[in-house]
Amino acid sequence: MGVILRTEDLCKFYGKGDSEVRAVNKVNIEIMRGEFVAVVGKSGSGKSTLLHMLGGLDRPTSGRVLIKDVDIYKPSEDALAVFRRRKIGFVFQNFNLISSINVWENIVLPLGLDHKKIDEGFVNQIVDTLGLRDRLEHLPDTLSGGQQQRVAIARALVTRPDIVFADEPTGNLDSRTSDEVVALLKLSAQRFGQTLVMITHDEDIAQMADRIIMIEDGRVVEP
Amino acid sequence: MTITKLAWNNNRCNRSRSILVTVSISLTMLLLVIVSSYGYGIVKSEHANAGLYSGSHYGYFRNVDTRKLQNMQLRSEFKGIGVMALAAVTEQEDLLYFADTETLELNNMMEKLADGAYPLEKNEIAARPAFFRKYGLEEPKPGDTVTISRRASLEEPFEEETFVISGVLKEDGAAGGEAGTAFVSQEYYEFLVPKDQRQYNVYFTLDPSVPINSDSKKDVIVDLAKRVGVRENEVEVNTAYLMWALDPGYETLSVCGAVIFCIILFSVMVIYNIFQVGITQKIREYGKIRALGATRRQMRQLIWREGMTLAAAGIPLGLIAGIDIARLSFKWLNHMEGSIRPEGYVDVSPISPLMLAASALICFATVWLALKKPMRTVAALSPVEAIRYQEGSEGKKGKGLRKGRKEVTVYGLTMANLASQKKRTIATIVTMGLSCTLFLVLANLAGNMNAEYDARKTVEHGDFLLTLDFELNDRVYPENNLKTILQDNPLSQELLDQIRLIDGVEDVKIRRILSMEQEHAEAEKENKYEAVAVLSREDFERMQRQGGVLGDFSYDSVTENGEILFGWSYFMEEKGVHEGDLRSMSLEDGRTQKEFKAAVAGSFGNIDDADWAITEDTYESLGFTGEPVFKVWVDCAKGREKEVEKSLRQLLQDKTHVELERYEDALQMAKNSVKLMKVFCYVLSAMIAVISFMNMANTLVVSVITRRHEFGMLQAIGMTNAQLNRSLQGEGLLFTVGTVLVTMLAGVPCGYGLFRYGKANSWFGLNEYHFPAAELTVMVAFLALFQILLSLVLTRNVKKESVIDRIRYQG
Repeated sequence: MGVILRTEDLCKFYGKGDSEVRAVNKVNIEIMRGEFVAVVGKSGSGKSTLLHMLGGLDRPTSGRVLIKDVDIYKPSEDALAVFRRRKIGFVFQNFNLISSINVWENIVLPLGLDHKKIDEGFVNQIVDTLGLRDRLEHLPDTLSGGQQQRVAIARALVTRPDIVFADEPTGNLDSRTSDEVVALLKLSAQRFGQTLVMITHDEDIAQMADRIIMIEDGRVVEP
Repeated sequence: MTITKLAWNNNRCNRSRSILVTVSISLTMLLLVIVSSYGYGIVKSEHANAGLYSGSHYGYFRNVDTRKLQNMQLRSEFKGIGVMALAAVTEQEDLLYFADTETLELNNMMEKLADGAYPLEKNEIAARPAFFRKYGLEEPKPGDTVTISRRASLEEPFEEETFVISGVLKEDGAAGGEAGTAFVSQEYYEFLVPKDQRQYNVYFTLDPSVPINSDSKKDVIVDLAKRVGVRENEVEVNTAYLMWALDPGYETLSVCGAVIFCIILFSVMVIYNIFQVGITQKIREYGKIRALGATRRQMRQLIWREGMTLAAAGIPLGLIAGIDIARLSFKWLNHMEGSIRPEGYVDVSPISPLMLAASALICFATVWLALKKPMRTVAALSPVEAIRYQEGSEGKKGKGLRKGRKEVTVYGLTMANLASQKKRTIATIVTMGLSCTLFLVLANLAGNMNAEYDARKTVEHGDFLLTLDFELNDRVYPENNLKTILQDNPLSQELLDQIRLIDGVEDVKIRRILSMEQEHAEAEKENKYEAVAVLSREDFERMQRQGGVLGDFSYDSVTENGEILFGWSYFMEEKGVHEGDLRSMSLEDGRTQKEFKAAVAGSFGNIDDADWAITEDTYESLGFTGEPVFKVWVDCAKGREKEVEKSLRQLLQDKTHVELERYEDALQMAKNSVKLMKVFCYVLSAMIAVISFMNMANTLVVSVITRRHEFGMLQAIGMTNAQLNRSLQGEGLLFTVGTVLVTMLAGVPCGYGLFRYGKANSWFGLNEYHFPAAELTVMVAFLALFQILLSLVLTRNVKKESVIDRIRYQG
């Protein structure tokens, strides 16, 4: 198992002078291929900012994010977008599905944006794993929270990304559904050979991870 | 916090909506002010200038003796009373009239004075130079003396009288006008005519308190005449003046009304759409206010105040801009028409405080109409549903399915988004489409106005037109009547020969005319003479093509059946003429009189200078011996126009009753008119299109703002900026394509229909139909350009934020 992601003195500061906020401060972490890592910390500790930088959504103030030894922030904005859709999958707390298209279309959307041919067998495999077979023609707003999050997971997996980032995927779900969704996420990542980085403040869910990274005031601390 | 404050804050928060609504209201007000001011200005101008052509008297009574005149002066209904009387006849059969100042003013005679004054002293005289030339004065000027042999009545012998010229009148037209009339003083008239034999033509106006309108004018004046002892057949009503002076301007007002209706319709649609979309976007906010305890009435008040605050800001802006544009453009139009206006034309201001107030009220009413539905929507909100509401999920409860496609592309995503906002998308496309339809319909009219075609209605052939200037039933100046003029027609064969000999003249065409007296009922005897044009096959068929024709006839059928045609289809009913009527008449060419009985075959739309028409073949078969030419067209070699005109004017120097018109002038006038109408049509439709564009702008702005989060998320999963651009451009493009489709489907048939209608009713310059392809191309180009610019601005706006800020945005 090699290192798939590492950071070098990663920083994200907001404001200047006295009002400067150091959301992420000199973070150096390494994540192995196929690993399930939980990032935990209190509200405002900088874990979401860290995840956004790891996922190529938010440019760091300084430092580097290297995925497969490539600095993801070096290329242009559009090249980064292409990189995201090919190498990274995202699952957000509030699902972020497109309300005007149905479940199937939401799942295959990243492939469409990349002009890639759909591997129907693979998509169906994900659909069946996540139990969405009878919901494919539904519009997202008609689904329950748990179902919507399962669609979001399917969408994150469909491009066979190297890493899946999940930002509090259970934040909007009840505890029973939360357990179910995380179990599915873990199962899918394992089945499709992906690395999973998940933010959570739920201790029980964090325990399901292979490793826990704890963040406090923008720095990584020992758990 | 009061409702007003809340409304104010809502407007501040929804800045883009507020700006778009305010601009729409301003443009609406601007258009309302311009259109109403134009309507007012045109009607006011017509009233102010009604008397320019035929005098500003209401009419005159003939054969009024001193007693009847006193009766008139005693009655309060008559306001300005002026008298005119025949004092004497000269040995050369010219007429010496006395006219008082009031009569001169009521007949615009004051402006006709070139030098000096009208006679006051007993031996003074005023006339046109042509009159004095007859009596040996080549260059008459005030102070010169002239000796005239005259008598006051047939019972008296002619006596020589020496007059001092008090004034010289202007020459009238190309050929000198009526040389046979001169003016003498009241003292001279009273010296010649004993009191008991004095008979006047009394010109008058009526007191404003007399209830008279365009329809009742004749009845009212005849009734007043009877009260002072004047018989009906001695009454002459100045119809040409009263038609305009008493015209409430219904035609102008109805056109303005129709335009205002269109403006209101588009504005209501646009303002309503912008508001409704804004409410849908902020429905959770309104739900919260409702949940906090606002009553239905307060919710309605909230929307009402939001709208009215914006109206209060937009209306003054539109008002100020509207006043300036209306005033300046009206002045510019007056300036453009200046060259074709008679002397003494009064320029009026089109601005009326009453019209401005009415426009503001209409504009407020427009906003109120637009707000009605949004007010109802907000008042009917259930707080819980509103808070739970998710945009685009309306009507999907219980359904919530979408067939969808196996693969999703950027284009598919755009289409899916528009489909999910079906109502909004359709409303935007329809509003835009209808405003462009209006443009296309007006372009069909404006683009098909052919100045040359219209100029050829005035000067049908060649470069110059000589035409007889005649009256038909003038009792005061019988020498001006067609019947009399034809007896010694100035457009004689000799003149035609002389014209043909002018160097540079290539062709001379003529049209003949006959004086007609129908077998009338007693009551109609007043206007017993009419004019009949004799049409060649070419002219006949051209007039048929001009449209407005009633009846099924051809040159051959009319000739074969010996039929007659009425000249003005619009007035057929009014004149009691019907297709198939059998008419008995007597026709005169100035030398011969022929009895003629003919059926009415139908009517042309309008034929210049004549009431009726027969074919040249029918004329030939009647066996006239005279030469009743009344129009002569002269075609000359290119570049020789100036010399030919000079020669023509020389030939016409001593001719009376002949007018010379140049094709060049007619064409210039027609071109000016076409230009004015085009400016009016295009400016109006462009303004409406701008109002509608506000709607499209709003739809796109709202669409982008509400989906900022969605865009962020799409970019998080890999949508590039180029794809985002394409998506937004695609949306805008769809609006453009939809608009063009609606415009083509509605605008092309409506435009063609209006053209056909216009042509049938002889509207200005409409002849051959050309599809307004250039206008349509310009419209599509503008639409596409605006839409692309708008999409670019919006995309740039979105791109200013980082992906993460967009993802965090919660609407």
